[in-house]
Amino acid sequence: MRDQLRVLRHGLVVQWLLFRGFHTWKTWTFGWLSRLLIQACFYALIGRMLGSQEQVDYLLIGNLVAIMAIDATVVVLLAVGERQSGTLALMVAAPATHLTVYLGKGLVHLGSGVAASTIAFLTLPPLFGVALPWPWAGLVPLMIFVVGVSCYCYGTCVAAFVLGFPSARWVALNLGYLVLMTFTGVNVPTSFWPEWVRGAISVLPMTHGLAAIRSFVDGGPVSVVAGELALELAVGAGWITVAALGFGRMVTRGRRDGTIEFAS
Amino acid sequence: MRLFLTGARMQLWLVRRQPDDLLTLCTIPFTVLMLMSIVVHSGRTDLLANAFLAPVLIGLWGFATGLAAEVLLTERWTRSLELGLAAPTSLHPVYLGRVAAVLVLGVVPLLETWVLGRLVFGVTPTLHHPGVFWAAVGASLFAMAGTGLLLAAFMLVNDNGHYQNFLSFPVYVLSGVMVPVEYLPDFLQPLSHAVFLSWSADLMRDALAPAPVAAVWWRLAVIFALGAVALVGGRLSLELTLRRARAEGSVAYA
Repeated sequence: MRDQLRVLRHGLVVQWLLFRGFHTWKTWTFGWLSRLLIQACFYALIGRMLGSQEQVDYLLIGNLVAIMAIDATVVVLLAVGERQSGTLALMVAAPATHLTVYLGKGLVHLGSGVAASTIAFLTLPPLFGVALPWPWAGLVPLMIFVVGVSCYCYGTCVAAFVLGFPSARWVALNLGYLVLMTFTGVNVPTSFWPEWVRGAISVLPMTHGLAAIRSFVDGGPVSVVAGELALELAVGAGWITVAALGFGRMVTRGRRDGTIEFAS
Repeated sequence: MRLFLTGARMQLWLVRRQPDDLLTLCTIPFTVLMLMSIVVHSGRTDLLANAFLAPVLIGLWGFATGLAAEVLLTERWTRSLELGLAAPTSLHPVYLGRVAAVLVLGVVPLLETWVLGRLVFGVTPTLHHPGVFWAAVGASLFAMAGTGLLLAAFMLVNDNGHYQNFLSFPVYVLSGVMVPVEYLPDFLQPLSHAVFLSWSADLMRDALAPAPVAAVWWRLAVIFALGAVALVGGRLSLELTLRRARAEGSVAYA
C-alpha cells in the first residue's frame, strides 16, 4: 500500500510539472477558468431567456457542477498520451501497477476541476440572483469534490477503453463529459428522459452527486443528501473497477500480440 | 482555382483518416439534445428556433476554430510547411482550399440538428423564409472561411491550446447563438456587432419566424463584409507570418 501511495505521489508530481509547463496562473485563470465560467453563464442566460428564476437556478447550479466533469475526464488524454509518447510500454514493464500512475497523474486535473467549479459556485450565483443557504452552502465544495472523484473514475474507465484507439482520444474525451452534461440532470431533470435511458443514467457519475447538491441547496433532509452522496461514491467505485479490468485486458492483449506501442 | 480545389480535395481526404478531425460532428448531437431538452422541458416551444440554430452555428464555429485553424499547424507538425514554402508557386490558395473544405463539413450539423429534432423530440422548425435562410447560411460559410484563415495564421504564431479553448463559449455568449444579444449586459452588446455570428444568428432566426424579415440585404452585406475583412486580414497575416518565419529561420522550429 505504501509503495502504491509513493507511485501515486510521483505520478502527481510529474503531472503537476507538466501542468505548470502548459499553464501559468494567468493562462489558467484568464484562458481556462474564465472559459468555464462563461460556459456556466451561457446556460444560466438560457434560464433568463426562458423568463423563470427557477430555471436560472436549476441551470446555473447544474452547470457549475458540470464544468468540473470536463477537467476530471481529461485523464482520457493522459492515458493515451503515455501510449503515444512510448512510455506506456515502460510502465507496463515496471513492477508497480500502471493504473496507480494514471490515477496520480490525473489528480492534478481533478484538482483543477474542483477549483474551477468551486470558484464558479462562489462567484456566479450572486450575478444571477441565485440564493444559497449560507453558511451551510460552504459544504457544497466538498460535495463537488465527491462528484469530481466519481467523474474521475468514470474518465479513467473511458481512458482504459480508448487506449486501443489513440486517434479517437479527443472524441472519447468530449463524448465522455457530454454524456454526463446531457443526461445526468444538469439541464433538465433525469425524469425528462425515457424510462430505458433513466436506467443507464442511474449508473453515471454526477447523477446522484448533483441530486445531493440540489437537495442540499433546497434545504432537503440530510439523510437524502448523504444517501445520494453514498450512491455517487458507489458509482465511482464501480467505474474504477471496470477501469482496472479494462487496463488489465489491454495490457494482457498488448503483451500477447505486441501492440502496446503500435496503434493509431 | 486548381490549387484551391487541390487543397480542398486533400483536406477531405485527410479528414477521412482521422476520427478526431470529425470531433465537432460527434459533439453536435449532444448540444442539440441539451438545448432542445431545455426548451421542450420548459414548455417554451416559441424558442425552438433558437435551440435549432444554436447547434448549427456552434458546429460551424467549432470547425472554424478547430480543424480549420489547425491547418497550418498540422503542416508544421508534419514538416511539410517548409516544403510548401519552398514550392515555386504560392500556396495560399491551397491553404484557403483546405479551410474551405473544412467549412463544407460545417453544413453537416444543420442536417444533424434537423434529424435529431425530428427523431428525438418530434419537432422541426418551419422555414418561413427559405431564401433568406439559405442566403444567410451561404454568407456565414463565406465569413467563416475568412475567419478560419485568420485563425489559422494566428495559431501559427500562437501554437498552444489556450486561445482555441477560449474561442468557444465566450463567442457563443457574445454572438447570441442561443440567447439573443439583448439579454446580455448593456456594455457587452456593442461588442457583439463585431462578431459576424451575431448577425448570422439574428438573420437565421428571423428567417424561421413568420414575420417579414427586415433589412435582409443590409444584414447579408454586413456578414459578407465582416467575412471579407477576416479573409483579407487572414491573407495578410499569413503572408507576414510566413515571411517573418522565413527571415528568422523559424519555419520548422517555432
